[in-house]
Amino acid sequence: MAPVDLLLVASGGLLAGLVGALMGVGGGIVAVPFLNLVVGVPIHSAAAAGLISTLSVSCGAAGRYLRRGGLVDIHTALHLEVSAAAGGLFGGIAVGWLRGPVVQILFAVTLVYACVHIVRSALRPGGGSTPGAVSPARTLVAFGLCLAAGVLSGLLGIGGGIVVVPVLHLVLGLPFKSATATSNFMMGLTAVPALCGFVSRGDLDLFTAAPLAAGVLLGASIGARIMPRVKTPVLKMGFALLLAAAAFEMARKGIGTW
Amino acid sequence: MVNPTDRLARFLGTLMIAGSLAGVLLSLAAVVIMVCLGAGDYPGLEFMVGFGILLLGVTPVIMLVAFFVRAVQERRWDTVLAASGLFAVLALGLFKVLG
Repeated sequence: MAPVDLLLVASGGLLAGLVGALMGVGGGIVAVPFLNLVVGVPIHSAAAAGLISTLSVSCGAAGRYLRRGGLVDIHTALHLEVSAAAGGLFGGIAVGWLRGPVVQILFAVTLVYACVHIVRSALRPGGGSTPGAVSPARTLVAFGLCLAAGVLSGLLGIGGGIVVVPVLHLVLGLPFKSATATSNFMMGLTAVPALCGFVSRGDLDLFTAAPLAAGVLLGASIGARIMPRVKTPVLKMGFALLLAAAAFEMARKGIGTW
Repeated sequence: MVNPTDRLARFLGTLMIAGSLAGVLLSLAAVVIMVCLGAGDYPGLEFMVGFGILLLGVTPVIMLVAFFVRAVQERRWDTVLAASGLFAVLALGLFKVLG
């Protein structure tokens, strides 16, 4: 790897971590399109590097939440994580059966969903949870959605927080901050089995993953510090536009090389 | 007063931060040194990059083992069962890598 590429990947990771922390999404949703569209890394390797950055951010953030105490619902996390991890393992294996353009189009659809998620959170911060007893039907829905989040994480190299946080908050009634902390705790445990599929195929390029993970970790740390001083609703709208542009470009590239 | 579970959570929090930082910094340092040295074979440095990433991957698994042991000690069998399910998934993943 040339020094310029190293700096480019690390700065992309820094940007992804910073923006991800400010917007409340994982770094992967920014880092994977950056690697694929800007650096030119094949989508499968970009997804594997995205999982490594998810792992580093998850460990760092969940570690801080665990030390603070009371935010991570470990009991709920471990139960839901069984389905999320199984989904992650399946996704990480299944992405090997899919051609690059198919993964790119899937990623574009996920980016559109992330756009909608971010715009909604900007217009209605916090949302409305449903505290109280959780019915068996809601628990089943939560398991099903966590399985889907795990598959998405394994397929695309993202953390899956855009699915897991709403599940914990809206379906299981966890307070928003606790839902975010618990989701962060879960992401790392989903990323490990998801990575197994990528490693077994040789899709994980360590020399791309290492600087990306370092950049994302530093960016997420800076983002968490400056977040209270930033007017997020306006920023979120701008970021949603950026994601929409990335979705369009990724879909165009995917369809073009079909 | 801090109860044993809180103490464990705090310890594991510190462990996770230390594990992720050590893993990322070790692999990044090795990549930077290799880039500075230029083209060539550097098996020691390549091992360092892989070891750093492995350290990062093992960190959440260590945390899971600690919570499993704590759940067994506290006889919380539903948590033991959930953690066992996770171990089964991780074992399948490891089998995929090795196989």
